[in-house]
Amino acid sequence: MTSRVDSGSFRDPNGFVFWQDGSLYRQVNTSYEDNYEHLMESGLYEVLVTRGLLVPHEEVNIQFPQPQLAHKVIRPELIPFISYPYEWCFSQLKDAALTTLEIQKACLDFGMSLKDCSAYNVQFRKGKPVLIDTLSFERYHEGQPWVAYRQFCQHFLAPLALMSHKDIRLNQLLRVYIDGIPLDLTSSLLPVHTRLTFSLLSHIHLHARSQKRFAEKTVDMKRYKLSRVSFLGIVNSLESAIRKQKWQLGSTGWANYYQDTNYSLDALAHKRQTVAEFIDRIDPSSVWDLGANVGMFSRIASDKGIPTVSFDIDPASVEINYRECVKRKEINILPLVLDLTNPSPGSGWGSEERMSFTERGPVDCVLVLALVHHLAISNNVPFNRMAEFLGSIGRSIVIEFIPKSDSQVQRLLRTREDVFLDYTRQCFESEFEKYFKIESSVGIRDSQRILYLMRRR
Amino acid sequence: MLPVDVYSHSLTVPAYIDPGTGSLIIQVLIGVLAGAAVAAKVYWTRIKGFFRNLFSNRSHRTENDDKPS
Repeated sequence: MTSRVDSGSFRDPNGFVFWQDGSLYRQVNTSYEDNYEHLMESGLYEVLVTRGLLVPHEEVNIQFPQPQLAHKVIRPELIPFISYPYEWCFSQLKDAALTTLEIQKACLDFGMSLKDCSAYNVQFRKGKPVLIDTLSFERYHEGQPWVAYRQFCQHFLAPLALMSHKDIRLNQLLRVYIDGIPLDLTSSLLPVHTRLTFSLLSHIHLHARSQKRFAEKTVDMKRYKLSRVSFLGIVNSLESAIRKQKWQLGSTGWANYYQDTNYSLDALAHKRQTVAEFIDRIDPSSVWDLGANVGMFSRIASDKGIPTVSFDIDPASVEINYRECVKRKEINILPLVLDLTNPSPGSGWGSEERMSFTERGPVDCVLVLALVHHLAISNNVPFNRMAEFLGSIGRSIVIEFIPKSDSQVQRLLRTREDVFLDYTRQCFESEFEKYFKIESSVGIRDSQRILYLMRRR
Repeated sequence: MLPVDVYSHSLTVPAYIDPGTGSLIIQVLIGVLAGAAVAAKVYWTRIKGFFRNLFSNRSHRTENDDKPS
């Protein structure tokens, strides 16, 4: 029996996550025994799991990896794809924040409270945010302020406020600041008018000033007590602050993509039919759709019941995709923001706490539709490097070649010199054949584009 | 095992994250206002409920007076 502690699980002395024989477990230490048993026996666990707010687990009887500390070992339900807050669109982050607060409110009814509010404790499961850290709960004692308040503001309110009031791309600061965006930075970036709303004035601007003022000081915390009513007031105030953060989707370049393409109705229908057939032939256990836009082709897979992750570089497209997912109550699709030319790297301590994009693969099937020309021409990625990368993340690929004569490629070349002498079908095929076997190729009707089904060698 | 005195100056186990002194202080200040808002909302809902019951009781009694016995 060899167990391996997860490289991201080391901060909380109450327990840790580990892998053994391909399964994921969590050791609950004796220091957490009282809180754990209260969570389970008070009814809070049942309520949270029934409402889909907490990941369910079962207690198991296996050898403790660290027996001197251990109380119990639990096996939580596995999340099929781990994603991080810097990969989420606006509404995903907002829903994760609201879920965290909903859990906090439920906790208080059972004499408990969240001891941390990290956005990394939330994952998407069946289309909805869920808390995965079963050890986040502690007994509530009236008078005690909320220890997780700072973390909530930095992980959730700060990025949402910046995305809403300044620029949608500012959630990328979460990649750099692993414990949420610092409040002094948030305060300096937010426009002045945000100081006129009580919620942002208090929880961001004054909060930042208070942090700075008391940074080096020791304070007698006995003087600072928070009554239960005030505690509830804080939680309600944060909920109202989060709900107020909104993002109006203007007409961005990518979100109206399908009105703007050169596919005729016949071509689009044939492409959809062919992609569906290729997916059936591969029969994958999961699919990644790269450059998925609003997820039209991702849904061919997810509607078949295949868990699908739907990646795009454009936050607006991912937002539209996610809103559709929520509206239709879809459980098999996870939209995420990703720049393929600069995908999420490993980060945190030892660069290992958070997985890189490639570490979360490989998958059975990757869709690379209407994408190669953007990579090759807009981003100067040679076919050879493209094939190598795709081979490292996918066992089979469904990939579309867009020839230079296509009007979309012509549009990309309009403002630049055509240095892409190797951008030909023959070159494409010969470079990809070094990493893949081309099983099938189909010319899309009423179009010059070609769809391929390729298997990794 | 859990310290009972939650008012000691170093915050109690099991909070492993740093709550931040400035964050705790501002929270208590905001909490006073936010708590008052919660209390006012509860109080106002009770006042509304009281008057609603009062008027609906009156109208029920008037209707019953009109019915044949």
